[in-house]
Amino acid sequence: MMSSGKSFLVIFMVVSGFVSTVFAQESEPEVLPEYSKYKDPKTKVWFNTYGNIRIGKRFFWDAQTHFRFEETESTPFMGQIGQIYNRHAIGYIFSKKTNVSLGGVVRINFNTDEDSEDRNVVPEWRIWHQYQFAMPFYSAMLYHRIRIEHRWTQGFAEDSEYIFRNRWRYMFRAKIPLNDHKLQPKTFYISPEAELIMQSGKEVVDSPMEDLRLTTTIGYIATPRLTFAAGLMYSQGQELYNGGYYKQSWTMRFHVYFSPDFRRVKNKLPDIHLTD
Amino acid sequence: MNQPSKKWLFPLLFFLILSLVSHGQEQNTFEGPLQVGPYSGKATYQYIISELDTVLDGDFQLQKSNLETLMEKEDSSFLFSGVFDEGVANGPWQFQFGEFKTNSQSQVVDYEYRVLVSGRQEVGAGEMVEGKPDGPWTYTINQIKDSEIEKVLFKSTISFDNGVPQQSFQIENDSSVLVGRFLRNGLAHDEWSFYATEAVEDTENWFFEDGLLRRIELNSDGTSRTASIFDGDASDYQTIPLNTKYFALLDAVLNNDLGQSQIVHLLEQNIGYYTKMDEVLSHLDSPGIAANMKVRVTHYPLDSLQNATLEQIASGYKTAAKLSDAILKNSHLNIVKRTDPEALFFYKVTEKISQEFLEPLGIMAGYIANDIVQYQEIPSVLERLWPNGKPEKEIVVSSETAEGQRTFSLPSSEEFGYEGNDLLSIVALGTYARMSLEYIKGSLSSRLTNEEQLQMLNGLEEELIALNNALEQKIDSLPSTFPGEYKDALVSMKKVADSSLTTYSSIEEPNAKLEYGQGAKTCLSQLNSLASSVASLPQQSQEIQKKYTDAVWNPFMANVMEEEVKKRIVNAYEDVLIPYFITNIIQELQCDNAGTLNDQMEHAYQRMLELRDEDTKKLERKLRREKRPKEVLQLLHQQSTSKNQ
Repeated sequence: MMSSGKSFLVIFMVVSGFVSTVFAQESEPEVLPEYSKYKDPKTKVWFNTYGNIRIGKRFFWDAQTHFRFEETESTPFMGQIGQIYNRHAIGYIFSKKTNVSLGGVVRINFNTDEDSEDRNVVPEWRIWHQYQFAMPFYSAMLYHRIRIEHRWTQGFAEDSEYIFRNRWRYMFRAKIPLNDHKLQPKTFYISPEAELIMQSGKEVVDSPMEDLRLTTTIGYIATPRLTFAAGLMYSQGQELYNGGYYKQSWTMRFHVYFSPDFRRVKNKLPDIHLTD
Repeated sequence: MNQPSKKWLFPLLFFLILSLVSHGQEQNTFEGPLQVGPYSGKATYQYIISELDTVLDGDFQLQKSNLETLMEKEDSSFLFSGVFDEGVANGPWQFQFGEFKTNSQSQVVDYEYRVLVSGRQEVGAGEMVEGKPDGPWTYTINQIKDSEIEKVLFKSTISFDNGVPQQSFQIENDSSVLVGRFLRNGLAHDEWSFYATEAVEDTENWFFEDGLLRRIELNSDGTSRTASIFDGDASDYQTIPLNTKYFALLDAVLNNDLGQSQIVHLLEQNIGYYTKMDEVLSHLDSPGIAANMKVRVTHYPLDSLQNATLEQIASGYKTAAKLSDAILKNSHLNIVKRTDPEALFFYKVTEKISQEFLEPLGIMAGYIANDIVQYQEIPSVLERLWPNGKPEKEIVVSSETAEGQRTFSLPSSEEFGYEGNDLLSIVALGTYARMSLEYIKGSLSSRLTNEEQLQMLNGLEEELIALNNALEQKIDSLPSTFPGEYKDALVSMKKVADSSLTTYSSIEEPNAKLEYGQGAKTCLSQLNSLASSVASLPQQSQEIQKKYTDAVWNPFMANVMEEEVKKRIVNAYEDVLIPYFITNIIQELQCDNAGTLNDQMEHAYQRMLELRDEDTKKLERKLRREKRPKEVLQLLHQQSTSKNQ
């Protein structure tokens, strides 16, 4: 295991250095094309864990860790690690249907430009806050999520500076139970979702639409505290430095949702009477 | 000259002396309250004092009438008036008894207030000579309406001579008349005729010859019957008063052949009224006014030995009748005989003894009580009492045996012989009946004397049946969705109940039966509890599911979900204990373990309700490994004891 792991790393570094060098010279077009240009879609795989840890009657700790892989030339979907993503927040349960969160993100960005000779890994920082509203709709639930992120990023170049942007995200999602009349344990559900991510900032000149994500997942509620889901996402968005070019991607997403409650029994009850 | 003067002097002297004597005993008058026998009223009478005694002498009157009672409701009045001569009734006498009501309307006539009365007045009147009725006596009962005679209800007219009824007499009521006559010595004689005033063809004639009643002729509803009575060729006759004893004798001799005699009825009434008058005079220490009619009857004198035998018969009958009553009227025997052939047999024998032995003996006892045996021939008495001959010692009754009948005889029956025609044979027969009944009572004693115990059994049986019915009903009322295994468990309970009842009914001995029955009762009520427990399992399971479910808010779905908590405990209960209980009930249920099983089930359920709110981390850890039902039960129990400490 050790030796095969090392050899993999060596090959990965050699190949990525070669690819990134070639690519760097062709990218960074400074003139908008006459027509919008759609790049070939990339294939990706995301493994996401979502923790929602109850720490009080109205407070929870939102802990998310995502592992995002993307293709290499030789390997689709899982050729290389793209980002490791740590999102944390303290959430406040306003009501059963409404909650807000405020926290930070530290994201480890790996240089996926196979030709690049720059740094392989750079951190990215964010402050984020989120407002989520749920609406029962027949047997399904509809969700509106507004997430606002204040984001500091830097390039892989050795001396690159952090740039600051704001992200404006709105997601609309439905969860429709498939084998039951409501979302409860032992239930499969289908969840279509659409999220539009807009951005703003000094560096954002002609590329406000960072990403449009269209996803459908199938989920299974194992217990009230554990849910699994898997789905496929198509996304597209403008490149930061040339809004005429649109990135595309197909992403397989695998999610684990868990919500443990380590409070003592007597503090736990009653869970649902939040406004008592 | 001298002679005539002497003749005149004698009566003069006599009267002088007589008047001196009577002046020496001075007559006094009493006015005031007086009680004579049952009659209490206002008296006015004259009396003399003779040797410090008050002797009635002269007019006597005792009366009572109360205007207030009359006006209020009804007044019972009486008036006795007559004359005494030195304590002896002598002169006209009148006895009045009245029952009156009034309509409360009064009128003033001259200087009197008059109130009209309605009711009934009895008047007996006649002459008394030296304490004896003499001349015509009448006793009349009038029905009075508004102070006038409406109807004569009864009237008897009898002539007496020195207390002895003479010549013809007449007794009538409102619908019939009896006429007859007496000899000078008071003996009934010749034809006594009764006829109905409105139906002349209904007649009854008694034919006397010097007091001896030889023949009775009866015409009623167009049929005519004649009965001969006393034999004219008997060796001995006796003169007796014509009273109720004589009527009893007639009844016996005629063997109740004529039914109710109208003559007897009127004579009895008359005797009653004379007795009423007699009572008053007797209480005034004067000789009475008995009707004193006489008849002659055949006489068969009894010696002292025979009289002793009669006493023996009477007392023997009394004992036997009590025994027979005790057996025939025993309520429990009357129930037991329906199912117990032995009891039924003895019951039937007793019935037969009662009919064939005791009823005739009872009639005989009546003769003895009325002292009329001496006027009848013993053989003919026997003939009348047992017209078909005396009953056999072997008493045969129908039964459900193959022969269709069964015979009872006293084990010592050979020592008895009552074939004769004398009084001793009656004694022997009575003794046989008595001893047979004693024997029967002895044989039935377990069924008679344990009555209390048997009644307990009765009550117990009712309870057993009720419990069994309740169990059946529990099974019948199960919903169709009730799990099959649970149903099997209930069926198994029913089997245990049935076998317990079968065993109970097969036990003969009352004590053992009672003891087993008590156990069976406990068993059945435990089975009922167990059945209730099993029947409520589905519902209890739901309750446990509910209790062990938490409402949990799911942040990802933003809804509330039901979460099963302490699943290991619930699973241990649902998947280990309940199947264990059910299997146990189906395979090993008995009366002995029904209670324990039910206790275990109830305790387990109770613990499940408690454990929800207890800290059960340790228990849940232990339950992860433990799947043996008994150990699981113990773990639940341990948790509870450690909690209690």
